Amino acid sequence: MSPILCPHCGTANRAGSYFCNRCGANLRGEQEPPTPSFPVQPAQEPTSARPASPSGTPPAANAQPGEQPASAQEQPDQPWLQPGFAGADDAPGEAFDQDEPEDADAGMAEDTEIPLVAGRLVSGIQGLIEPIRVATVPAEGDGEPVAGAAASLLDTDRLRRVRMLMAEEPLLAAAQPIASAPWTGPGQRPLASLWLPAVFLLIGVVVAFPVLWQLTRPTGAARQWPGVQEAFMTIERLPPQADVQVLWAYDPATAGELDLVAAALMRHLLDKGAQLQVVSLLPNGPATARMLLAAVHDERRQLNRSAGEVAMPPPRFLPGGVLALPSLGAQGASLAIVLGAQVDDVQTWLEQVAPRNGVAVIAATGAGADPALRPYLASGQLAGLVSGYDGAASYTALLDDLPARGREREIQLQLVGQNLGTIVFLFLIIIGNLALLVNGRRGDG
Amino acid sequence: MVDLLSSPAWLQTAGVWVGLGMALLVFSAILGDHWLARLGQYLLVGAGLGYAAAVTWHTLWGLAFVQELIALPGAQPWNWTPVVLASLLALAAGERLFFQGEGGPPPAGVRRFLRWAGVLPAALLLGAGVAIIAVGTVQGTLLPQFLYAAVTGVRPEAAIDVFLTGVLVLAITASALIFFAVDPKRHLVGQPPWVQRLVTGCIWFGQRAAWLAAGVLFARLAASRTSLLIAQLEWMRATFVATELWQTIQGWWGGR
Repeated sequence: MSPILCPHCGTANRAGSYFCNRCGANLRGEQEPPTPSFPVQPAQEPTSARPASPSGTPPAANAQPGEQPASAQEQPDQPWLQPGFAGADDAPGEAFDQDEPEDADAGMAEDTEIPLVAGRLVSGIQGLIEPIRVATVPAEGDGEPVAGAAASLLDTDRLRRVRMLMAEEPLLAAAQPIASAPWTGPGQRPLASLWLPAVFLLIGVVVAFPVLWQLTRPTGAARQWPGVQEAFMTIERLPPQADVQVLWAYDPATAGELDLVAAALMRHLLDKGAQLQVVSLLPNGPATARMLLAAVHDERRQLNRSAGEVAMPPPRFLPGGVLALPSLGAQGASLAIVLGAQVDDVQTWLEQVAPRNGVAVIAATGAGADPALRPYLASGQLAGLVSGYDGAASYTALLDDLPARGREREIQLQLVGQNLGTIVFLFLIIIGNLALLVNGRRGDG
Repeated sequence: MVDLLSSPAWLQTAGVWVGLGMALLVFSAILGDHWLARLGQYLLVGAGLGYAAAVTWHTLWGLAFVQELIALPGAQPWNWTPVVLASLLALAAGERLFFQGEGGPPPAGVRRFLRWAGVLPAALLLGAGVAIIAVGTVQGTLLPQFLYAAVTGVRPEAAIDVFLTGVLVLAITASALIFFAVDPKRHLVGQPPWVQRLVTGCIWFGQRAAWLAAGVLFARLAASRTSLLIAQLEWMRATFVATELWQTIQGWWGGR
């Protein structure tokens, strides 16, 4: 059975789903295609190689006149795949309010002509906290004075992808197939599309090669990002036996990257004899914390590096999510450390806890969260930022600790793989853009 | 209990092999959607959810107010409030779950009461959640970030590069906000031409800024996801090297 695409975020959900797995949008809310009750402006003929669709319809919907896109034909219960669809909550002025009598809509249809929009300003709680408001794509050629320049803005599909990127979930697999793109006109040979498994296999081979062959060159040097030195100095200045709050916001799913970062900081903290109060909002978090802390504790004990045995409370799970987090703001501490793979983990702490107790915060995150957290480092809300393999390697190098620095080789191995993977990504992006450029020129000619 | 179970060496070894098998099952999804890949995903998600439910249940019994209720149920009557609200919510959710899709007249009696009663805890949760998130966003992100951008952006006495950087940060921030918030079709109709040109220019600028930011985010995300792949490969390599099979192969190869 075909998956159901969410009209809100574009996530592919299992056939038969009632709600979107990602954003919770109602997938069965509209039993009938919610054809707007006001006049829909017909799609204009493309005037350029990449026309903006008035209804925000993805480019794939720009098929031949009278021709239904294949996906819409196959999935008649998914009205959002139909050209010209605007979700019920995407329309302006609450025109689709289910409680409104039908004649009210009919009256509106007679009196006003409201342009279709594909975005929303706020949609419940989720819309409130989402960083992006999906802007609208105005109709082309309708005589409005500002339509010309603005009509080339992102269409809904592109905005969805930007939105997914901001939410740290790039949708590679959901990309439009090149063959259905608007630049392949009738009779024109479509571009050879990339076979996605081949891309994944290529990246897998490139990444596995240095790991299996234990290569630490030629790209094994860590990049020195700002924030690592600051984090190191902040911990270095801690008094002995200082209380440190730790939000353990990762579990085994992202432990491969985060364990390296966390281990570097935990070594330093245990050497300073810090009293860790570890809390996690994830059920799997405490177990992950216990495993890593036990390993680091044993290592430091064997090396006689630990600044004395400190009876630490075991890591605990805090049920209630963001609602429970403010309660941690009532506790005092000398330092707070957030170990999380996502931006949200750090952001939530800075918004809910840090303003209440005023404790300095160090973020230890995955590389993906790094760019979005830089502004917090610049504004001084973060006392330090250690992210990804680069951050782990840089921090480990700062430790005056030969055994720990011996682990640089382990990180170097992984850096080589990561950098080679990045090179493959860049190569694919360049090839894809060149192909698009060449084919676009051919289409224009 | 978990420690006792996991202490035997054979169980830990079995865990490693099960993990290796699961990793390979999930990895096989790159070859397409097939039942082995789905089996791996179902087992992983099912086991994870089961463990999460067990931990949550165990933690709930350890909460202070629950302990007080168990020790002296009548000592703190307010402690019953979350219990009553949670029970109402669970009952109302159950009613919705088991009777959804049923046609006929609106429910009456107990079912009608449950529907109304379930609204109370849900509204409380919703209200508290919205308030906490909204206040937190303002005090932790919007206000500090805006103040920082404003202070660094409007400081003429600073060095020229610092000043220009601040101005650029302000311009990009404002343009990106306009790009995401302004709908030219709705907001600019009837405005003077110079306003339309100014805002359209800001949208153009903000759009490029958003594209650039998205590119940077994608690059770092790709690096992050590659890290996870590498960690898994490294784990599989180490697991395989530690096996007797590999040592046998090594011995055979070395003795040849």
